[in-house]
Amino acid sequence: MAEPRLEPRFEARFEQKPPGVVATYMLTARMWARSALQYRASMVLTMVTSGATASLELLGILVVFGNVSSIGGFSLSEALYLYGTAQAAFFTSDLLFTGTEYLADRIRLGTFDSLLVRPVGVLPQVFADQFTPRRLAPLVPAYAALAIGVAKAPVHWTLLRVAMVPYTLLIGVAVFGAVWILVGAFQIVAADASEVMNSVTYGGQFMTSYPLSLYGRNLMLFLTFGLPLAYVNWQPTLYVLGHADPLGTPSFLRFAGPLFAAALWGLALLAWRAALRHHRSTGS
Amino acid sequence: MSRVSQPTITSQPIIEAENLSKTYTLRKKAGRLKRERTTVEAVRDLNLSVAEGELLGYIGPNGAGKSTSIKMFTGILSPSAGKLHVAGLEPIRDRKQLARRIGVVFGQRTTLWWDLPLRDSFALLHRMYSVPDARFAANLKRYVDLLELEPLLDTPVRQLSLGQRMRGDLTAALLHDPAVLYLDEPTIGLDVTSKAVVREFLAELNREQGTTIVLTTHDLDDIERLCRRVVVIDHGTVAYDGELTALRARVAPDRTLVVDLAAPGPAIDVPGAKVTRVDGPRQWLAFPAEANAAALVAAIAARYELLDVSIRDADIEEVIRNLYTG
Amino acid sequence: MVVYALITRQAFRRYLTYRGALFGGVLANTVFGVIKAFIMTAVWRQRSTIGGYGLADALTFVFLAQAMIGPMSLLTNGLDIPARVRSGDIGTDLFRPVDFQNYWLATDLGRAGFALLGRSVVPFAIGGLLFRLHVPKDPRVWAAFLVAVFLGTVVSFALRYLAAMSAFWLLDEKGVTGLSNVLTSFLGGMIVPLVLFPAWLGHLARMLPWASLVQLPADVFLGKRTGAAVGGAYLFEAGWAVALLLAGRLVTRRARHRVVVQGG
Repeated sequence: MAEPRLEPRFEARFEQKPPGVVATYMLTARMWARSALQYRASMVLTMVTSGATASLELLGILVVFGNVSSIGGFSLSEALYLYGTAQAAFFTSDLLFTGTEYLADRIRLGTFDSLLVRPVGVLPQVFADQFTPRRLAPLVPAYAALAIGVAKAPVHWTLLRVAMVPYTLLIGVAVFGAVWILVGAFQIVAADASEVMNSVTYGGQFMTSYPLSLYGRNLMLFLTFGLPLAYVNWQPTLYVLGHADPLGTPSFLRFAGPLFAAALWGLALLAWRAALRHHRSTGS
Repeated sequence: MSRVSQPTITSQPIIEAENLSKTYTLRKKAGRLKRERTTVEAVRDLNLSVAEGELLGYIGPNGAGKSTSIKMFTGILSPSAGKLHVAGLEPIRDRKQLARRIGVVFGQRTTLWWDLPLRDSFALLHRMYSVPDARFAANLKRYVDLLELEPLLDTPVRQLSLGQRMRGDLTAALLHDPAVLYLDEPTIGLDVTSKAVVREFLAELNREQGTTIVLTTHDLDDIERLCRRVVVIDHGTVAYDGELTALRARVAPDRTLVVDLAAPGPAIDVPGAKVTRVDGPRQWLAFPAEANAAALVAAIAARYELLDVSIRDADIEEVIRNLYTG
Repeated sequence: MVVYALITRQAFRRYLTYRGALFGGVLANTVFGVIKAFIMTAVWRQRSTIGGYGLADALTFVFLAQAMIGPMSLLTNGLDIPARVRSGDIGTDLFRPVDFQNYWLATDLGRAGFALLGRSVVPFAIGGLLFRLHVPKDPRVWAAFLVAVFLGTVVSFALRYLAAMSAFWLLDEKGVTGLSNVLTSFLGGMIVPLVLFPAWLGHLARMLPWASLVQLPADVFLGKRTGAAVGGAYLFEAGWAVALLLAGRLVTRRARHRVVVQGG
């Protein structure tokens, strides 16, 4: 047995700061992206198919408007704008945060614990899980729709309205991001029932792509004050396009996205922490 | 709170578990609607004190609480009761700091990135563990040289053999100079040469660096060759904690005399020994470890025609089995 | 024949054990059906009839499509062939005494049977509770409908089989199966009901095999096809089924040859 040393290792360890949340995410995401690029042909193929699938929905809207001239009071260009904001926000959040969807698999395979033995946060590692450039593909039809909407929609463009467009996307990504965290927490606690959350994530994507007024009063209320998906794009878009809120909510709500997004994040992070505590207590 | 810890040159153990327990509540279906609650004590009043620089064998039957206790040491699982300190930290409260002081190697699962060259996994760890550049370079060189990984650095991990991957995993676990290294079945599935390489590496690591090593294995050759101290976990608690030789003496005091007769025959009848197995001309006899082996051999040779003789110490399998069932 | 019945029953039983995972799928089917129904309501509010469909017809079509997702595996390939090709297990499958394609057909029918019970009924029922659907009262219509569903399932199998068999030639079959899924979604009426398509596209879609999946069974269910026209639908479905299955046999033979030449 060697002479016990005076901890040169411990001191060396604290010379540099540990990676923070963003750094951890970037490190992990880069490794996954490079792994994915090892299979270039396969990745290109799946990019084409996911881009095609995303384009289908867009095609669907065009087909619908081949038969009628407006839906829920929205003309084609307005509908494309709304659709574009929802899809862009969703697929951007999908690019950044979908790693939480794979937690159920990780737990089943027993590979979740290896994340806990790293000197970095668990959530950023999970967010970056399975990161792949493939997820860029559906952004193309999403942003295309948005671009057409911006170009063609009869909007009285003021500086504020112009600023609202990227603002809408930002808040949209934030709201969906919080949903992905909730997905993660759910998957840790109920790994077998993970498919249930699809209705919230992909269902949410679908719902926000169309005017919320289509879904009736009760659902609108729920999406405005319950699970605040209305702030992904609906509320700010009402302002941009100059529509009145069929629900009759006060106009300051159009800008209340950050509040609801922050509240949802707070809730989601609490849920995540609880789920992690649960896992470390029961071993899942 | 300043994180410059107290130097461990004192007698403070690097792993200290006091009445450590982990209890699970299982809910099983009993009939259509009712759920029965059963309590499972995976770990029960486990007491363990490991000094820095020890090379410890941590063994026990499957389901005995070994992995559960290791998960608690590494901060994965929270204890239900008891006190636990590893490297001066509380594993659950200080997970991230503890992670920088420990290394973990799984025999059956790799932590390396499957599709990327070895080098890339190491580079990631450089950043993730914030190892100072000079230190990282020195460590990398040392382990790459010791484990002969130089020609493999640019090979994707999926193309490595099991032995090569294990050497990669060992390096990965050590690049940040952990104080404690946990190994779970590191030699499983390896060929004889690779096993020897790994064992020698671990012995040298412990000798030269003073890294505390906790070795969990079912390969008892590993234990024989590496560990002086053995901790046996059974039924969630420490069944034995001490030197291997003492364990062997305590539990399996019999040695085995293997005798090759000139021709097959009935079981040898000789005082002080008992035949345990016969296979053609070869017979196995058990005799007390303190007995004089030479005298026994002479006694047998006087009555039977012997071709060859060899003496075996109690097989460690037997030792452990006796301990579990005893 | 008996062998295949056994294989089908075995597949059915196997999927029965997975029934715990059903809930998420049923929930998703229902949620998406409801959202689509709201959208269709907004469309039909403005024009009472489109392509011969009234609102109730359109809503029924939507929920029928959702109901068919399970049995006809409209969103995924659902066949294990590519995974078995990758693992090498396919070698033993190809040289079994049971006919390769028929084996997979029988297995798929077992899966479809289970999906019909487990994933089709509930979403449709919920759709019926929330919206006014066109539900036939005549049990003969239901029987005719189920025959059309059966034939449609066979067509869907044949299509998916061809896509899955590409795994023998391509390192990664996901491109082909992905493309197949895209075509199925669009031409099957999963994105929007075919009646909304512009005339030329609608006519084209009705000539392609994917029309067998949802459109033709819906035609029967909604009473758009009666009497001899129902027989016409069966002929269409069966015709495509036979053609695609024959193509499948050819592909299987080439695949077998390829395995022998390459040594598995």
